Amino acid sequence: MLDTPFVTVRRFNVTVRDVLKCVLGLRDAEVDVYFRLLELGEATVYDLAEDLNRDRTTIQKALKSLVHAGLVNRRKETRPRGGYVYVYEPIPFEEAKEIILRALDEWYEAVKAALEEVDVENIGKE
Amino acid sequence: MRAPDGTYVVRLTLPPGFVPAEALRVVADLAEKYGDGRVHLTVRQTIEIPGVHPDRLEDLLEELRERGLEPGSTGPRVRQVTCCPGADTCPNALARTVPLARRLHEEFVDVWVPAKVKIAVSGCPRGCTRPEDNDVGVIGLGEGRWRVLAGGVDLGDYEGEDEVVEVIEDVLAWYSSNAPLGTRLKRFAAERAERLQEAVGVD
Repeated sequence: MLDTPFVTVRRFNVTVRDVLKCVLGLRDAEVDVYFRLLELGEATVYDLAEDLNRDRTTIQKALKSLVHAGLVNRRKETRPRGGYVYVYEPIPFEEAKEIILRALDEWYEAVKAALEEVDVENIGKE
Repeated sequence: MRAPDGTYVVRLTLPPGFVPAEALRVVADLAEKYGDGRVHLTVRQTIEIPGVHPDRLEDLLEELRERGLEPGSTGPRVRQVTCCPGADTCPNALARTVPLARRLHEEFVDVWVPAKVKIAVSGCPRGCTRPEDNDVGVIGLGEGRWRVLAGGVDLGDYEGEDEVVEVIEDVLAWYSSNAPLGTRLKRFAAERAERLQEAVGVD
């Protein structure tokens, strides 16, 4: 579903991945982690690193980004042998859609306002 | 990054503090091979290779990674952490900045945020890296204590690197869940000093 176009706009096929990358500025690795989490329900950094065959630092940073973007929540769980581990849980895609739509509106408004002001001869100059 | 003449400027990510001479040799090679033989030393303590022809950009990025260097972040991400050399070489410093700056680099660089976030570490309150002007600033006070600022707002003093990492994590979480996309932390924090202090638990 992630990489299957859900709409074609002026002959351009748009996927959910495209939208997340374009509107929220996320990267492929982050999009992959979010969608894998949706399938798994929840997971730790270790689970995801193994599952997606990426190193732990990459997964850790991708998760931090997703938490910041509001797409993933994390909670602390105490381990039976002591210490704790963070468990990451994605927000449902229906809720993610709201975040995307809000960002899309902000992006549209910003580009629209800038475009109305723009003057071809002065593009790139401040 | 595209320059007005249509060529590309490739920015690197360098670990804060000291750059190994070998990395500089690699940069020199790449600048001669793919660029115009010059580099720019940026205000954020990294290096940019200008004059890269669009057709050669992918090859440069590939060779860069093969030889152990990484391109720098652009867009809504935490940028390279800057620091002074600290007590390793500066007689005025009260703290060793490089280990903390590298730790922050590992924890935060390239993480998604609503707008770019710049972090600077200084080894004493003279603040040569301008911690008060950065989105997040950390000032060494000596004896393992650090003062943390966000947008110039004082968030209190912390004991040891772990506490510094934790408070910066809290600041970024507060910022990410409250600020509209595109609003810099510096401005957002300065305009909401009390709410931020409350969010990170400053008395």
